[in-house]
Amino acid sequence: MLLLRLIFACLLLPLIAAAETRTVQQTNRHQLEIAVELKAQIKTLIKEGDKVRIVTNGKYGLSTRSNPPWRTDFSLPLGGMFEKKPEAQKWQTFRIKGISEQSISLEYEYGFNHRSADNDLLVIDKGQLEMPLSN
Amino acid sequence: MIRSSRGYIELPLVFIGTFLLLSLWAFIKPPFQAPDEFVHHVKTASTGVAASSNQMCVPVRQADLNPLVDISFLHAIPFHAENSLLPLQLRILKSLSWPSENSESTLPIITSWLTSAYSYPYPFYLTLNYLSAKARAATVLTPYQAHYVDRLIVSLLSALAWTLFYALLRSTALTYYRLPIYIFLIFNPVLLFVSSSINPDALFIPLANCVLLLSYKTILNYRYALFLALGLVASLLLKSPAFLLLPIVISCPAILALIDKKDRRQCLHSFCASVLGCLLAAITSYLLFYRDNVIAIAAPTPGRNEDLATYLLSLWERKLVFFSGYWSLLGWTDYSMPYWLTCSMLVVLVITTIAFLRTHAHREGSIYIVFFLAFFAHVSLLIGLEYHFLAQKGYIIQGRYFLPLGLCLSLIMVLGPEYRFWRRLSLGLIVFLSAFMFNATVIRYHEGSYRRAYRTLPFVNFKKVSDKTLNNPELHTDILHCKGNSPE
Repeated sequence: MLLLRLIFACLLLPLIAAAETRTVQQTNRHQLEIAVELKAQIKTLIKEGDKVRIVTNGKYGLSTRSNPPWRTDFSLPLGGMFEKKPEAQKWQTFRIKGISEQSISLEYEYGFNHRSADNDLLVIDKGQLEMPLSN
Repeated sequence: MIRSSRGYIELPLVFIGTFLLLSLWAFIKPPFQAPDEFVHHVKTASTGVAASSNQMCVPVRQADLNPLVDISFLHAIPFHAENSLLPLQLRILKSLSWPSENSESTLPIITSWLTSAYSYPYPFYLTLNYLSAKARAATVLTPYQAHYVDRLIVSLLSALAWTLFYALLRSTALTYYRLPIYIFLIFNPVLLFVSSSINPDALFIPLANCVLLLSYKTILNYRYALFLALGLVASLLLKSPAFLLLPIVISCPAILALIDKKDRRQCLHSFCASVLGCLLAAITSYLLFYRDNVIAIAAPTPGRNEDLATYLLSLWERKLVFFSGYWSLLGWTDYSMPYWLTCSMLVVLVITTIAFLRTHAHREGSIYIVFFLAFFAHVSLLIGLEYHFLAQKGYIIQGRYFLPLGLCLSLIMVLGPEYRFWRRLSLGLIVFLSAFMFNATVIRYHEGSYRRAYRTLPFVNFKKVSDKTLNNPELHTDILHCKGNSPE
């Protein structure tokens, strides 16, 4: 009898529609929060020719397919990218957009996957920030 | 009557446990993120004047209004699951202070916020207003802390009402199942979310469930009709939708009298007693409040012109919204449980309902079928009302509107299964759902960071933001300046 009830209940399952993914785009919403954290985490930010050398405390870094270990001391040219260590539901990537004598400008992309929401909500926030070079 | 020592500590334990659970949910969500919390706060702030003026809309003294109401980003979070509370925003909220100038000035009523809450009776708002003023007079509180103190006061009152419900449950034949029934009710995430915020539902839901129990007791012994009337008066003086309880309370013994040929005489007695109880409650509440006040029904969605067939089809299409809305639609209906959890709850409910009907639906069966009838009557009434007001108000039913009848579903899920294992499995599922939705709330409002959630606690230190940031015009809505609002 219990088995029959289970079968009956399982018949209801097709009534439930598949989850839809909904992506919401935002601009500069997390800019200040990210800038404050990035400033606190970067130990050294200096210009070396046409590249920028970045040394971080460990949370931000670089990992490539050819050089997989997580690197916290790296040099990047214009257009180069680094990231924050990915967490379970969120990630941050940065692209160097401009290098001047005083600062660098970065484009960031912040992503947060809500997952537990009924419609699998994905939030993408894109924005720009300036980071002053170390003295 | 001999009662074990366990009996004496049971009620205090239930009270403390419920209060702690509600407090946990009160702290986890940012200010004004529970349904209609803005409106209920404004109503609370204006109650001191409203109670003596017999008006639906009265001005609010600026000194009584929490300045958090005016913060624009708090208004951007409801209905937008993508907007969480950012760390800088939290610092702004914590840095706000009470207005020192023009404290005696009054603000015209905010017409865009005129919802049915403005027509609710005063007892809840007056009590909260009084206790909140006492708390503010006793200690120095920032607006941010004062908001959480308000929520704690509501949680305390709600815990008291739930303890009363538990005591009533203990005095019935259901006493053997009281703990599982209570767990099924109190661990509902939507109930915890709403009951730990500034909302009369925190008191109305436990009182409506008490009314159901008293109705059941009246069916067994018509002398309880007086208590039933008292429970109904209390409910009617909290929320006008409590009028829906009257036909439910009357119809259950009436249907029981029709189907139970054996004890028809007793059923008729209890039917007459229930009718008298309802009449007494309706007359009393009318004389105390409704004679001089208007009842308004909110219009959250635009009106729709639909024929009956299209409307019935829409009910079928909205079935999962109702279902997940009852268990887990949090925030301002913007965050709910995932589909796999909806499936699990649905399977459990279907199996337990079939088992319940098999055990209790036949003529010689138990009187508990009355709870099934009550729930059925409540659903029918809500559907009837929605269809009646469809052209003006649109779709108004939400899953949480079934919470006042939560006892019926709890009973079905507890009394339905024949095996203890199945009952324990169902109980485990509801506790798991509650923990899951608590975590989902942290994801929703704090991007999954418990450290950020901890920093929102009102007693945790923070770095104050500058006055320049606080005076930024973009930070404030036009609510306190009343642009575009005509004074009533």
